Amino acid sequence: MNCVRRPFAALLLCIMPLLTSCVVLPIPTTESKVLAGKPVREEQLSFLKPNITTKQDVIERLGNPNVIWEDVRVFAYNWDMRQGILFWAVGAYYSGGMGTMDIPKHYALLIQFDEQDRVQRLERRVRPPSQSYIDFLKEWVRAPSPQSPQNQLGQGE
Amino acid sequence: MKRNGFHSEQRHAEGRGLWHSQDTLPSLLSALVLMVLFTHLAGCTSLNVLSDAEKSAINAGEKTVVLLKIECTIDNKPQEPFRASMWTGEPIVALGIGGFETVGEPGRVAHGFLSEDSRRAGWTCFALPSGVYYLAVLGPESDAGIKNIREAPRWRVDIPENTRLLYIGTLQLTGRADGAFLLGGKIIKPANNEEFIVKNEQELAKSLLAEHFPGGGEMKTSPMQRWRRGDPIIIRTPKPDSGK
Repeated sequence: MNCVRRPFAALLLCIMPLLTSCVVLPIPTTESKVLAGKPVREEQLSFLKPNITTKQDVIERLGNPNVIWEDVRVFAYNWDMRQGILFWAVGAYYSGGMGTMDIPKHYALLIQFDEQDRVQRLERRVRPPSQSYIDFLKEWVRAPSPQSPQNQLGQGE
Repeated sequence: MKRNGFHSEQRHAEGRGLWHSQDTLPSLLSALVLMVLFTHLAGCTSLNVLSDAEKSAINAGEKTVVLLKIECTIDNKPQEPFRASMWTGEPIVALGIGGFETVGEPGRVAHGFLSEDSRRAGWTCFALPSGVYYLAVLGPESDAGIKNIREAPRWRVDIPENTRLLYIGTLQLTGRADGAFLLGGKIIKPANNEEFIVKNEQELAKSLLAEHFPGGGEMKTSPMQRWRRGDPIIIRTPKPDSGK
């Protein structure tokens, strides 16, 4: 009798993992909800003039940055906006679970200063979810400076 | 042919529907005894001293010994902050370090001790290249070993260049007993309420480092600075030869 039951039990064990299921559904939303940080709007940046605006002016208008990369004179202001909602559901055998989570979009305003602490270049960028924050900063710092310093607002969106 | 092994001589236990092996139980017991013995030995030898590679990097000036002391009290009674073994149920303090590559976000890190006596007194150290780091200190807390170190209070540590020996201060942590575990031992919770005192015991630090690094040169003191959420994270590019 056991000789019959054992192969059946083994077969059942093999089939059981296949009975699980998982549903993941991303639902896009408008970027109206702030998930983290303080968003810096484009209209707030009109005061930033390359070669004129000083580091002190930037701190007075925008507050302290989230990150200061000292030796390359970079300020980074970060904020996350919700770009969608991820709906998920998992079912297995007789139990299951479901829920939602926000899908963030990582924004950063990056400002580099020259040796006289005046704005050299700036850019508002979106960090890809797969990229680490330090790689994102390194990539921007390594990127060639424009021939004439200019505001690159809105790029990367 | 008789097979000797873990699953040999399997027999059906008459009338009980159970499969067993004549030598399974002794094998399991001996495995269990070995596991207990191993874990006990591992626990007894958990003193994490600086490795030879770290010591040579320190002597070559590539890394700095960063020394700090944690003073811990539970219900106003002094307690060792770093337990000798992970198998004793004492309250513990967990440390994390974040640097350039993590943009200050701390990760759990193995910290060293200069000796057993200094561990008991609360002294601990790291071997790090020069740069700006963020030290996260969790505890005293019974579950400090499993809690998210990123939520712990942080301090900024600035390691200057050309420094072999650095003392960053003595941090006072307080905790309180809040009930007991089912199998014994107090449940410890932190009681600092985000207010921390960093004392300067540089003379004690100097003599301790002089004992363990006689040729290490002069010790510098650079007290760690409290970092709170909302403060900027400061990073500095590491030197190309750092981190060896």
